[in-house]
Amino acid sequence: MGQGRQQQPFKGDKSMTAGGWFTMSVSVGFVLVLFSWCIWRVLTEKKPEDHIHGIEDIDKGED
Amino acid sequence: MTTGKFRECWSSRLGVIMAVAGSAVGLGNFLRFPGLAAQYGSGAFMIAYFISLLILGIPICWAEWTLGRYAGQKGFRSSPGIFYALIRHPVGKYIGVLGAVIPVTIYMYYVYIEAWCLGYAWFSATGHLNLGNDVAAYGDFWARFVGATKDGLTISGGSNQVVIFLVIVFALNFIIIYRGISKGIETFCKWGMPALILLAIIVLVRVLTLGTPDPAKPDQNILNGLGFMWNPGDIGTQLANPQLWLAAAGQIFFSLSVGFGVIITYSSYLREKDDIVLSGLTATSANEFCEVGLGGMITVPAAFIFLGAAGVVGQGTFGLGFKVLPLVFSKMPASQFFGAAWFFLLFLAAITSSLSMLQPGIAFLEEGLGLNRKQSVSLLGLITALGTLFIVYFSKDIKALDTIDFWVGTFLIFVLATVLIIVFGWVLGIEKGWEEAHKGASMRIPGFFKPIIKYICPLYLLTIFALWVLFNVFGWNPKTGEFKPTGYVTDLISSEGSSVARMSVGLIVLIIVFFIITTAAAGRRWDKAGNNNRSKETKA
Repeated sequence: MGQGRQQQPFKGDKSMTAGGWFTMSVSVGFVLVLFSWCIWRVLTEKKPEDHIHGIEDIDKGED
Repeated sequence: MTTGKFRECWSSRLGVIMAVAGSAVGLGNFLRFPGLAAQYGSGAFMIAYFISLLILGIPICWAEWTLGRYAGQKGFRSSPGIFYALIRHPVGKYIGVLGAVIPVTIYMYYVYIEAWCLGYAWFSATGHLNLGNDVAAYGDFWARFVGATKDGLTISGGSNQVVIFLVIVFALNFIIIYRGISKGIETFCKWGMPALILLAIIVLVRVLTLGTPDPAKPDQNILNGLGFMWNPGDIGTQLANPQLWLAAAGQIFFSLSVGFGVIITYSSYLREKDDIVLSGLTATSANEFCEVGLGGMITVPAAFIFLGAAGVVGQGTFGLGFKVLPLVFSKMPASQFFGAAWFFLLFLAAITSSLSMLQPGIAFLEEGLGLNRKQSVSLLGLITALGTLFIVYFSKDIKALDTIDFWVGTFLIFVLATVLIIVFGWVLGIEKGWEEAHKGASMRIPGFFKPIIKYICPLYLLTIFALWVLFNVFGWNPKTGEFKPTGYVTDLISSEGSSVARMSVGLIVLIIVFFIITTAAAGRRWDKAGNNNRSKETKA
């Protein structure tokens, strides 16, 4: 959106080259490892206050 | 300053991460990124993309999380309030107006696109989207569905099914937002984001196992599809192209929802000792996983397998999403299931984003005008409904939507992001900002990010912004050096311009004026509350 007027021609098509495999593996591998590491850290880290502020106290002002 | 009324907060760390990730993951992850990567030669594009992530995306994310939580501790939840707390000058709160105007205005058209996704999921599931092998049939269907052939078609004409879906998604958004931060947004995103990722993995497995679906066209197979997406071109030459850098930085920028006013609002509901460094990085990485790991592996390879290069070349976001991909899914085995799964995941991506666009407006109306939840939801519902009605009515060539997206969804976002990073590095100060960011942090931000945040990020952002203005506003041609204003400008100033484009800009101005007036009123409330607090402290 907003950029729809600047399309350019795509590059030519051919089967996966070694460069293609490398680009895909590094790109997808990097984001996968980063995401997995972050989620693992979040889920395994013990922070005592993590579970004690679960009470939502909304003053809806309807009184 | 405390208002004494706003005690909402996130109920879990994973919840706020899912909410921020949900805000970031949108249609751009699955439709815009793959098209850009393939278009610019994926090798060079990914280099520029990851550099932009490192020196633009991640630093601005951390800056936004920090600024939001910092101001939240002072009792402010809305963008004008947050800037009122950050910039100790009367002008501060008016700068913050952008953080309310941007998400609320984007919501007005984004909810319409969200309705398309839900509608397409329904039509796919019921088999109504099997329109044969001609992509033109799918283009006609989309044009009729969204009213792209004539103004007012979706409201007054015969083809008004989109309105049904629009009413459903509009109501759903406001029901969820009415339930509040924790019970509404957080609960929805904690279920919606895993569901989105699960659906994307199901579709991904289907695409990767397609092999060569049409033996008569052996070239159209999955390996060639992946090659079309990922094979690098001449990396050195491509990296010298400024438009590639603009595209890569722009994609990082818009994909992560930085500069929307959303992250500062969400993080203002955090507590002082809540971690923001790891949480911010996790939300960012979730967005990147969805974009590169899922979107990059599904959209372009799938389109290539069934339509070849000719079917993918030159398609914009909407062309790829609502004309090409319906045809692609209609050709797959179990087309109804996979088509519905695909468009429902797009709907989930859209609604988790649209919810985040409403919260800054709600927060402002509650905090600035002292409205309760029911009043603020009602008022924001009325404002956004009127704006959406304007966009839905002026649907010919989706002119109103496109114009507002350009000036608010791109231009103003650049402005706000620049302001945010300058405020973090230079107004709050890098040392204080650094200290604030690390309160309760689960991990340290590497030290090299200090100069990046203070110097490189603002410079890079300003350079990208200047390039964007040169290319997309003034229509600069780097080869000839000529300037030819783009359609977005000539629509407004040319005698042959578009009245709809002008009215759209008028709507934007109207919204800005509304928020400026209400911010002025809010400022008086905040000043008064601040004076009262100071008086109490003096007496004590």
